[in-house]
Amino acid sequence: MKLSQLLLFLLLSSSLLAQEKFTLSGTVKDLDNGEDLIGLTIFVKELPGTGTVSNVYGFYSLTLPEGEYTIQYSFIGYKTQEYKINFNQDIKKDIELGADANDLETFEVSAEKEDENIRSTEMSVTKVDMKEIESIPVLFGERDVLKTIQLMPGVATGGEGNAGFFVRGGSADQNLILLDEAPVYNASHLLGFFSVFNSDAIKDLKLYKGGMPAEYGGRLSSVMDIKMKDGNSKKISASGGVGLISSKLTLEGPIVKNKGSFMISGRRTYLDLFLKLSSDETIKNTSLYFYDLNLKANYRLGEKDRVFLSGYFGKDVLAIKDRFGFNWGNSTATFRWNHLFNDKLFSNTSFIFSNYNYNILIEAAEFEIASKIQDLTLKEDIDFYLNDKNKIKFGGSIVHHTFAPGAFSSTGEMENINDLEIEKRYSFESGLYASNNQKITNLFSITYGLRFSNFTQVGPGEIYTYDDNGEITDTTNYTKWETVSLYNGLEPRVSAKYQLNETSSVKASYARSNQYLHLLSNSSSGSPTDAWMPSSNNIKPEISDQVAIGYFKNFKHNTYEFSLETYYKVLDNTIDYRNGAEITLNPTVEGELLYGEGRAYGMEFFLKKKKGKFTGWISYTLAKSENRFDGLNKGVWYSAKQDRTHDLSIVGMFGISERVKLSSTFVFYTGNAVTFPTGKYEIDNQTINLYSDRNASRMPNYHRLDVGLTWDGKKYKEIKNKETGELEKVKKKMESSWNFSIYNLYARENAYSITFQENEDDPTKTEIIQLSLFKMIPSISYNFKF
Amino acid sequence: MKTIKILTIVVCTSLILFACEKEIDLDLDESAQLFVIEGIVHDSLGGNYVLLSKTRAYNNNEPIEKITNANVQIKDGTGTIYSLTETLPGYYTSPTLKGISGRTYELNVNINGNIITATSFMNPRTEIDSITYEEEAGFGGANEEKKYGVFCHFTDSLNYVNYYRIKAFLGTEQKSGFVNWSDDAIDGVSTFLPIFNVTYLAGDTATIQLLSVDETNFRYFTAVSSSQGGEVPGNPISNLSGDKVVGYFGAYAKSQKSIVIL
Repeated sequence: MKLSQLLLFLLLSSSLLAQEKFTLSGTVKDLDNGEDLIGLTIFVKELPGTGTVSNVYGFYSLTLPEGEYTIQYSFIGYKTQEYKINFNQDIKKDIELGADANDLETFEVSAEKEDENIRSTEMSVTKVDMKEIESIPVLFGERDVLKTIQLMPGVATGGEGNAGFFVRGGSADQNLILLDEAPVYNASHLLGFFSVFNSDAIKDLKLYKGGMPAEYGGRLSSVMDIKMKDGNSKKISASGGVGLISSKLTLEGPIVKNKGSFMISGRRTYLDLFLKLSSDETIKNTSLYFYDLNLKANYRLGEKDRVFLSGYFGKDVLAIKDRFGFNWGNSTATFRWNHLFNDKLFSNTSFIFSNYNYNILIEAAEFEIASKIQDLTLKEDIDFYLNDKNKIKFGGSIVHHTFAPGAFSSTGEMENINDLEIEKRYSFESGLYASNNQKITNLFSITYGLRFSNFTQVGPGEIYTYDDNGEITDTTNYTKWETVSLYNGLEPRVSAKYQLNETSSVKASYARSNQYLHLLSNSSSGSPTDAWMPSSNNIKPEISDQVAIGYFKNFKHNTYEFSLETYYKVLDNTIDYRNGAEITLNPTVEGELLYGEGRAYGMEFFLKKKKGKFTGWISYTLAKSENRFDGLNKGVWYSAKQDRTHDLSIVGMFGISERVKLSSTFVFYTGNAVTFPTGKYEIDNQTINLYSDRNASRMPNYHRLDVGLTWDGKKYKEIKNKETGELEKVKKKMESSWNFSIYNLYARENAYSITFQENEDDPTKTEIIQLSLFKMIPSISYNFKF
Repeated sequence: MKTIKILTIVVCTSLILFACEKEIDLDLDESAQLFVIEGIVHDSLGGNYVLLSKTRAYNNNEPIEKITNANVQIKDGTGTIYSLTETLPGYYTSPTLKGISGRTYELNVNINGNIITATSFMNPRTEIDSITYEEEAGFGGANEEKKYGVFCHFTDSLNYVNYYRIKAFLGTEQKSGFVNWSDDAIDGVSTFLPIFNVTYLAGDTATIQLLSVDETNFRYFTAVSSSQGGEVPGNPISNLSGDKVVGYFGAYAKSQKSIVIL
């Protein structure tokens, strides 16, 4: 195989030049709470362009030729540390970095190496600073990482107040969302108005919009990698918040000081308490809430081994007393074992469980519907820090998927329906990958890798085969573990950087991805009953190829960060419904599908001011996303639902004083492509809409302005020093802050939905009704930490 | 599924504190005008009609344009041809046609030289055992009238693939909404199905028709339901021939019962 030969050649060519070398390795942590620092940069002052970055467990390794070097550890928001290190033997050095005392004046302290965005080969990557999330105004004051990420270029919102998102014109199911490596199949609560991620429990979030590293696979558009906090390993601490619709509490602390720690974080909404105030009986008898629980513990077994256990449990409940009950939720659990084979070889083994299910109970008709998807994963990832020029990653994973699309059962005394189960489906999804991040010259680096993926659908089951018209042509029974269908994929991933000068670089990337799971959604905002479908004898894997190029520039000592990226993406075997398909609890749903192709392209502009009293960013995306299906719109290209021509976000944060911070966001985007009726007719005494082309109309443009104010309590108290008689600032045990915000300040009536319906008083007439949600929602929340 | 609609309504009502609804004007594209056919043959003497009209622009609220002076015929499986006569503008019927289960019916319509045909198979009839009603729990505050939901009880025939449409009437007026069931989950079961789309008030006469329909009709009406919510918008595939027409033709075995809500 040509690519592997190339890989080998590149490796050899760099190691041939080897001389006597030594390795510096260790872990980097936060001084205050012992959290691992992810993505901290380690630089060698004497060798510009040489350095490394800590991995997700805070581990780093750097191999250099013999000599004395000045090693610099820097991380945004932390004080940079510098050490003179003599590389005459292998050295282990664990570092703890302290946060900058004053957030507003980070300028001088750590200005120097905050240009990772320029130096790294990574492009099309969006990170969220968990500190920034605290001050950005949001709906009901409920901080949400998924909503903040929508303010970034190339990431479009799923709708008003919605946590769902579209990346670079891809559909919502093309985003792989990982919480501590476990896939989260439904990331939204309450029909999408909130995400399942409690921001108090999250340490780090990274979104890959393109040029996905080879270790990730399975989705076409993006990978969102979310890491939960490990918990404070220094002391017991608590933080929490009380908001308009929910409260949350996080407890963390050491298990054994500096050896292990735990974190427990919970959140519960109480929107239903407001419903009790309603005079309407239906609303009064409605239960409507969700809760989340995040748990994590880690323990260091010795110098070389560390284990982690993390879990997430969340549930939504929606019920009308004696009539109707509906609940759904995710649960995930991850067990990880870090092992250091030597100072260059870091291994992580993970065992992952993920489950998503929903239940609908219709009490009036005495029956229940249940559905779930469940994954078991075994995964191995190895970081190999070969030398200062090559950083290799390789590994593999195997996932066993179980799909239970739906089961009906009778709940009454009288058996009014037969128990009916749509057959479960089973499959294995596996991947093997290797990649290398290689520095070719001081200015030119390249990351190249290859992922091999396999998807095998296995029995038992009665498997149908459909023809082009969706009619069953064959039915075959398969026994347990018998292979029904099998797909292989080779997914090359390349990204390269060329540094133009100290402050700017150009980058390019190419990535191919295969997607073996497909979400069938028939609503615009996503619904808990949307069903994941595995690839099968009928459904081929979706494939995407994406190229992107970008220009990256920092100004004024990294105070400003600018990027311009453009991408082109081609999609194959995309899936859509036939007109008028029946998709819920349909055993022959695969016959209701059409297969087509897609293309998406666009340009993303991003300018951010990172430091100073005033910070914020402007993000603008100009894009197009189209689909083509033989059976739809006479086979011509048409706009995908999530096609957004313009998408603009402006975020500003202004520190009025040390304790008061003002913030504001403005968003504007083109309305979704939708299918509006082009006529009407009457059958059975009621009006039926007549449609022509799919997605030929547009929702009205969307825009909104939010403002927020964060008022921190005093962080210090002044105590008289007994010896000198002077007042000294002493850090207070308890920190607190108030957060006030107004969502949709100028009360724009954005269309959430447009309904075409018969006039209630005169059914012979029709009317068009626009529903707008959230006109000027003020909210207040109180957060504390001690 | 209706549940999603209910769910959305519930969540939206609870957000009603924040939400607002208003009527808007929208400039909509206009499709070419098409013929509309609603044709039914029941298994009762004279229980048949074909309604002919034309589609309108969405924002056109003028009365529907009927198609008069068309030539309408229905042929039963034995080759007998019935000509339907126009008794009201656009309303064609035959007093001598009576559907028989097990036969396939063929509709032929000629509108100024445009010929449209369709066929439909009449399944065996399933009788309604009874109609019951129940006060809808949770609904009706102190100042509101009590509302009642109606249930249709029947016994599905075992090992025969049945498809049902249920029509609900208040007096003689057909109420909005489409209820379609296949017997996937109720094969051979004595069951009761809720009529989700209609609520009745005390004093109303609720009339329920249980129609045994063929698969094509079942699929057509399932598609009508899902497309009208705007979820998978599109024109349902019907059994009428040609691309100048929308609507359906169905041979339905009908069982009907009424109940007075007390």
